[in-house]
Amino acid sequence: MACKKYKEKIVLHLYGELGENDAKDLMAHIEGCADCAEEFAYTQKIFQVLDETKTDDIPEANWEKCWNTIDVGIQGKERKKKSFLLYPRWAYASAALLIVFTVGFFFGRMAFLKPAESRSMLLEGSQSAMYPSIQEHFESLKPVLVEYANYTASPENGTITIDKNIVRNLIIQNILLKRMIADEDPSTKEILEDVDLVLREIANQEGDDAHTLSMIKELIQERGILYEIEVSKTI
Amino acid sequence: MLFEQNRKRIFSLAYQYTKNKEDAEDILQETFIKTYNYLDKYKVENETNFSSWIYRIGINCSIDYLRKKKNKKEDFSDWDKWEKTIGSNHSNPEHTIGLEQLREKISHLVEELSPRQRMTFILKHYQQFSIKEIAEYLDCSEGSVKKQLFRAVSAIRSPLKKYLWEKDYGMQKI
Repeated sequence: MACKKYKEKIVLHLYGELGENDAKDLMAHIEGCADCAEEFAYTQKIFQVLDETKTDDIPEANWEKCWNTIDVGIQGKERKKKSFLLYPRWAYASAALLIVFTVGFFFGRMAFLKPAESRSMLLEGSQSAMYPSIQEHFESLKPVLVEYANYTASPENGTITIDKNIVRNLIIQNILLKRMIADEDPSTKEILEDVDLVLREIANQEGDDAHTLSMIKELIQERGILYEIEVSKTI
Repeated sequence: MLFEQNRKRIFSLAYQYTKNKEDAEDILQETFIKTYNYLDKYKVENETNFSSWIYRIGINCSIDYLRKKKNKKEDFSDWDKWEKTIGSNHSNPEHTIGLEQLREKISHLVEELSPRQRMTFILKHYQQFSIKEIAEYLDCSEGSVKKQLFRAVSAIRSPLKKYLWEKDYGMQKI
C-alpha cells in the first residue's frame, strides 16, 4: 500500500511537482525499497525516452480554409442580426478575429498592469478601458487621413495609392470599436462613424480618380476628423 | 500579437492532441466560433485573462472533438495492425529501433489514453503546464489532475518498458 503511494510520488517528482519534504521522504523510501528503486529507475528512463522523442514539428495550418469555415459558422449566428447584413462576407470572418484580438489586447494589457491599476480600469467601466485601443486605432488612421487631407489635384501630385488590405483592416477595426463602445461614448462614436465614411470611400477608390481624391479630402476637412482625433487625446 | 499567439498555441495543442492536421484545424475553427459566440459572456463574467479563457475553450473543444470521434469510430483499436507493421522489424538482427519508430510507438500509446487523460498528459508533458494550471484549465481539483497524470504515465510506461526491453533500448542496463 505504501509503495503504491510512492509510485505515484515518483511521477510527480520527475515532473518537479513534489514539495521538498515529500521529495526527501520519497528518496529515503527508495533507498530502503528495491522495488521502488527499480520503478524509479525505469520511470526515469521512460521520461528520458519521452523527452528524446519530443518534437516541435507542428505543421502549418491552412489558415485560409480555417477562416472560411469560421466565416460560415459566424454568419449562421449573425444572419439574425440585420445590422450586419450591410457588410461583405470577408468582414464577418475578419470581424470575429479582430474582436478576439481587440478584447484580447485589452484584457492582455490589463493582465500586465499592477493590480491596483487593473482594478481602477475595471471600476472606471468599459468606456475608459477602451480608451487605449481607440487611441491606438486613431494613431493607425492618422497617416492615411493626413495623406488624403494634404492632397492637391495637380499633374505633379499624381495619385494616392494605399494597400486595400490595410484599409479593410482599418474598416473592420473601426466597426468593432464602434460596436464595443456602443452608446457609452457618443462623441467618440460620432468620430468613428465619420471615419467609417471616409474609409469606405478610400476602399472604393478606383485608380487615379482626382475627383474621388478631392471628395475624400473635403470629407475629412468638413467633418474635422483630424481635429477631433487630436481633441480626443486630451479628454 | 496576442491573436497570432492564441491561434498558434491552440493549433499546436490541438495537433499534439490529435496528431492530425485536419482534426487540429477543425478544433481551431470550432474554438474561434465558440469564442465569438461566448464573447458577451466573457465580457460580463470576466475573472480570468483572455488568453487563458480562449485556451480553455480550445482544450474543451479538443476533448469534445475526440470524444465525438471515438464514439463515431466502430473499431478504433488498430493496435494489432500497428503492432504488425512496426513490430515486423524483428528481421533486423540487432533489434534496434529508430527515433521515428519510437515516436510512432509513443504516439500510439498516447492515442490509447482516454480523452481526458490524454489532455492531462499533453498539457503536462508537452505543454509543460503546472498541475495547478492544468486543474484550472480542466476545471477540476489538483488531486484529480495528479491521478489522471499518474494513470496516463502508467498506461504509457508499462507497454513502452516492454517494448524498449525487447528492442534493446538500453533498458537492460538498469
